[in-house]
Amino acid sequence: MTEEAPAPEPRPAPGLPPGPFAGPAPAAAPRQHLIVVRVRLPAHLRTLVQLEKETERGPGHGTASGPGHGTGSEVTLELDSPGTQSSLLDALETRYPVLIGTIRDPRTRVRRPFIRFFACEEDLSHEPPDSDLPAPVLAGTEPFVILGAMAGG
Amino acid sequence: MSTIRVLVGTRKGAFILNADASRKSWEVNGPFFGGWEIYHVNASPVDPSRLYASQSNGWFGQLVQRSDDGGTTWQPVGNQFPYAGVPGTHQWYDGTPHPWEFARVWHLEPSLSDPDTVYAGVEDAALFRSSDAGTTWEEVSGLRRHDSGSSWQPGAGGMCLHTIVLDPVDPERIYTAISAAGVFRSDDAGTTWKPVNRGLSSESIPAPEAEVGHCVHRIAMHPSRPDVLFMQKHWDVMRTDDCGESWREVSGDLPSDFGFTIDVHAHEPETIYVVPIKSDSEHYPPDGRLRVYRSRTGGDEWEALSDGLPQRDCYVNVLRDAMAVDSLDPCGIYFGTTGGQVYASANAGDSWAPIVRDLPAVLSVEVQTLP
Repeated sequence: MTEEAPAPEPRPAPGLPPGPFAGPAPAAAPRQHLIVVRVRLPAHLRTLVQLEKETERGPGHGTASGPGHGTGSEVTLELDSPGTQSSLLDALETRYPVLIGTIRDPRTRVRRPFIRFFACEEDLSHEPPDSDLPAPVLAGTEPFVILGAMAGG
Repeated sequence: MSTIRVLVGTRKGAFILNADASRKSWEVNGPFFGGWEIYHVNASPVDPSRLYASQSNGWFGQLVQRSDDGGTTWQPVGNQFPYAGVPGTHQWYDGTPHPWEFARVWHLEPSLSDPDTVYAGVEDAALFRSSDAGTTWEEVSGLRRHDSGSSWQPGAGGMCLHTIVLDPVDPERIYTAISAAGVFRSDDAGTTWKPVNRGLSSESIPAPEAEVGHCVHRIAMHPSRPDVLFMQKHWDVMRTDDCGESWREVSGDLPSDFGFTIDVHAHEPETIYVVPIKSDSEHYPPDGRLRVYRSRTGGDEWEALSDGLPQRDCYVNVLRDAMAVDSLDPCGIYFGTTGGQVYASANAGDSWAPIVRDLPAVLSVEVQTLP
């Protein structure tokens, strides 16, 4: 009965705001201070966390409203530096427990197969979970994008 | 005056259909959880306002939703289904050992006595129970740990525990059905289980009359006759009069004894309904004619019910959980199709009319008769 969802080759999400990919945060970055990151969620997960629908704004027009809050397509989260994929997802699941199991396997914490992570026009899906987030994400100038892999015909 | 609430799970959301006892004019509400596969929506028989829904998709996994107000509002509850202990392996399609992996909840069966207790049948086949209204789930692990567990193999739809029948007289007795392992019964509230498949014969397995390995599609019981069960198997319609200890075939004069769903009239325990499907390689009705078949004799002798159903060019399927009955008199019968139609009969199947025609493919139908 299952409708199999093919897993196409991931590509950068259309509509991402332009911005240079500055690579991982430098190792010498100050540690253990609070940073604020923006996270963009796919439509189904926005519904689950009851974010305002972005239908009339279109992708790329969500706004961050402050630490630990969210409107439109994005939420903002406070992380301890250095921010990593894991710490970002931990913070996201802490704020929205309904998302536990929807992005990562709850037991192994491995990314679900048809979930992709993009930022700064790069596919970060296959980066190690403990790798540092790109500097523009840590600076709050670029969102960390969580989305479902494209499927369909 | 009673009202009817039909709970419909589809490939792209849930729908709730309401009517008064005349069952002529329907209000369609939904989609709820739009875009998600809703394998099953079911209601507590103790508290009719308490509903549970299984919500999943290939991207974001499994959620369980609960409503405490009859489906007006919903809240996500627990979605963690951890297998007890070290899960071990079952057989994969190629016969190799394959780790037990949770995929989705196929069926939700609320307790007959406690609105906060609900069972979940999942893929890979296991039975879970929640005693806190779905907040947390614990495996009823004696089933999967049966000696035969490591030999269970998936059917084409996955290795799913799709049917849970609770005995209304003996609260310790539970039946489950697994594709493709068969029927299992517990007489001690789930602690221990035994396969109850004697009399089943499946040509598609090496030993056709093996103790396990049968692709049972659904079983149904009338609450007044808990020793009697009816089964739609992959092929063959079967019945048991001794709690599954022995089964006999009652396919009789059906045009095809392949099918998925089976149900029992609310007031006549020997009146049963099936929807014959042409074959396991052609999942549509014989001759392009959608017909429900009714037996008033507990099987063997069947009559076609086609008034109001499409009798040409119809190539939909009716899945295992997609038929239900209400408890009005005359009894109402309901079923949904993979073509998105939900049909209702307010006269025990004599005639039919669509409630709605263009839903996504229907996966499940349940009915509440509300005072």
